[in-house]
Amino acid sequence: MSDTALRLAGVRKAFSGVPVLHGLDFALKKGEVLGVTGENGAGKSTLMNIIGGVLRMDAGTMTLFDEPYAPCSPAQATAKGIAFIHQELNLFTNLTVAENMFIDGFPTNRFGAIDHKKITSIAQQAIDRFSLPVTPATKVADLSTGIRQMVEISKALLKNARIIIFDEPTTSLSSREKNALFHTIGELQQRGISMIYISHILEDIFRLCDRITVLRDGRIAGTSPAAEISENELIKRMVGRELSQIFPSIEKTISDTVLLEARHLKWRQRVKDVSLKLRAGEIVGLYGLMGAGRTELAKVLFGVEQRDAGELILNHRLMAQVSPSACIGGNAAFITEDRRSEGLLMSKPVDDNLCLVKSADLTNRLGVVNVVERARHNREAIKDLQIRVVDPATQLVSSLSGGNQQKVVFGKWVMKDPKIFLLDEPTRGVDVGARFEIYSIIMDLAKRGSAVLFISSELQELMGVCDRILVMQEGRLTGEVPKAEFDQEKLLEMALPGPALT
Amino acid sequence: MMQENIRRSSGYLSWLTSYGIYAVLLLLVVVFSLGNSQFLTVDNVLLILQQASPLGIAVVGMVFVLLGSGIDISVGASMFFVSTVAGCVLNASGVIPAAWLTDIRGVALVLGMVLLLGALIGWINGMLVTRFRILPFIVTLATASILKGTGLKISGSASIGVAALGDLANGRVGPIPNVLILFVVVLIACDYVLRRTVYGRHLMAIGDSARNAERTGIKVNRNIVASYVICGVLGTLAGILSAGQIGSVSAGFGEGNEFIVISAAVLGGTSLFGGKGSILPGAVIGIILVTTIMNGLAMMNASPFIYTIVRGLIIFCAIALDSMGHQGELR
Repeated sequence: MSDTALRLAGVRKAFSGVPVLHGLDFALKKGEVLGVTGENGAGKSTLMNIIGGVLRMDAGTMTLFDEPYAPCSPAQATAKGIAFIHQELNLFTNLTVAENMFIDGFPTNRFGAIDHKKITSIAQQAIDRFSLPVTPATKVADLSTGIRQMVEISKALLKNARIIIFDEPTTSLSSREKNALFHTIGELQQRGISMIYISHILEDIFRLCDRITVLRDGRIAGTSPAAEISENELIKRMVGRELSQIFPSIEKTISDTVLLEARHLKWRQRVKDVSLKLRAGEIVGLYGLMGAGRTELAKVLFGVEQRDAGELILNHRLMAQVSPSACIGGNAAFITEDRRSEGLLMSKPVDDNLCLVKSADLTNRLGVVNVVERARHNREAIKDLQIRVVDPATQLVSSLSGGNQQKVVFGKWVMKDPKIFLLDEPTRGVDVGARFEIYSIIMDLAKRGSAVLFISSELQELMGVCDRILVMQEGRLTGEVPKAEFDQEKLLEMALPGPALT
Repeated sequence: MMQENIRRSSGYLSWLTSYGIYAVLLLLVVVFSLGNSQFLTVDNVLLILQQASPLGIAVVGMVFVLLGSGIDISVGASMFFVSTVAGCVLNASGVIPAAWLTDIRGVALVLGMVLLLGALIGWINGMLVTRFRILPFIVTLATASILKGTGLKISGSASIGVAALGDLANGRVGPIPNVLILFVVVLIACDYVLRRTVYGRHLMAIGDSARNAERTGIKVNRNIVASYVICGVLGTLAGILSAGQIGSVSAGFGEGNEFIVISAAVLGGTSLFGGKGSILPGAVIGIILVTTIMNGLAMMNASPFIYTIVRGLIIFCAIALDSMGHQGELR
């Protein structure tokens, strides 16, 4: 018997040809808490989904307590003693605490009825173990997130979990709940349970973990004992890549005309007092980790969500009420993160998609669209943006590659010639070659006098394309860096939660 | 400590959705008894219960389907279809021995036969919903149309007498109507299944989050098919009893019953979004409320056309309350 609880060797995974994990080697020791961190898209969730049986690996082997391990379903992973505590909990809110603990294996009597006495008494024991302020008959809907998490942990222990994986478990916890969770993790460790703790809150990782593994671009960027590495070194590992990609260079000038200005915007708890200015010809990057509130900010700017407080000035006009149609009328465009469900009609041909926004301008008095004019505009857009499509009238958008789909989204808006662009992760799912073309389109837009807000999780592309970068963290702007001072580590530091680093 | 950690939904809306129906029922009873002194008598209350029982049985079935995030629009048409079949069997002396027709054996045989038919209809609905992933609303709308058409084809749209079912449906044990006893048995049995068996709890879990249920290893499809089978069987039983109460099956029999049944379930607190609802007290209070309104209107000599309007308003209010209380994705 070795001292390894879980070992991965050469694990590979690709999604539709794009490799996400490049042969990972990874080991979890018995009874340790292993921290796993990395930027968005480094491959953390893919890795955990493979361990949890949600995804199958393409190549590689896993060994669990010296036995080969290859789960086909989450239920199999559970049976092998691996439990997941996700950000979104796997509890049924309409059932009681006791019922949730036994949902996948109710003890029954001869008549098929649930042995209620038994589940109540076992649940009570589990509750007592952590002194939770609930009864077995409490409905989960009535519990706070922190307590729900404890219920989920208790559930895992009832099933004899040997390995517990926490995925960003503190995101929706209050600080007291967080302390209680950490205390529990300590107890679990004393009982010999091995744990993987995924988070980008470095402070928590240092506090909890014995060793820390950093994932970067689908590879292990290093594993060190927590005592032997500093936060700064960790950040270096997280970003530590060369600026290898090539970015288009286009001569353009930034004017003083402010096209969009926001003052002290607030929206729920997600956008806290954000002020920014977009000038004509300027590309402004907006960087932040998942959940920093970037998308929410864009939605508030575009009127998809109504702001709670603050002022918005669009084209020198103070907007009392902002709505998407008012923004489109005011020459703004919003290219959403999720083009499949929000940006495109996937099952419609390219032509129909391209003219979605423009059509209204091509109608006569009776509301009938001028088809000849529409076709001319579509052909122009396809040529300008180099969209690779054989027959735009019949070819469905769903048959195009990610890059070409994104160009269709751009084409849809560019036709209307907007002056303000809000781009949310425009290169997600786009392969490297097509990215260059997307960057060129973006820079060309700016050259023609548009103001661009470019939201991305990838520092590299922001640094390659933007004139300045704003950093957002937990709903606030925590930094603004001009092009001359771009520095990966500095930017990442600003984006990481927790006390400011020195 | 307790208060801090336990989150309770509070406020006007949640009070309205959980207790509003009792207030409404009380109000109606007061209004109707002021309008007609005969309303609040033992005889009339028993009559209301007798009227409520057949459809009440169907409501219980509907609660199962709704809890699993489904819906069954075909209940009314399947009531018509199975009652027509039952009527034909009872009237065609060749099918079963003539001697049986006059006693309990004939009724039992017919009952067994149509319940199987109901189970089959439910199974088909369930399979179409789960295997072919068609929206439950559309599936059952289509089966409703097929069942209605087939029934009309069999009966030639003529009225069929089902007097043989009269004893069962209108008889009483002492002062208690047979159908009420049957209703109570169904209620207790089904409430037990829902609250205390693995199937019941799994169905609730599926209604709460089908994705989580799948991940947990619950057999989602099988459980959902079972809910449609339960609904088919109980709907059929309700149809036979209600046909027996009327004494004949006309071309319009069962029409609109699906809406009475669904609105009664929703009024009783069962959500159209799945995962929330109950048989006791939900299904019971729902059907009693609907029947009370119909009975009261009749006793106040309201125009029969008003019924349809009132029925529509009830459905509207019930569903509006359900939707307002629901936060999340619409189905």
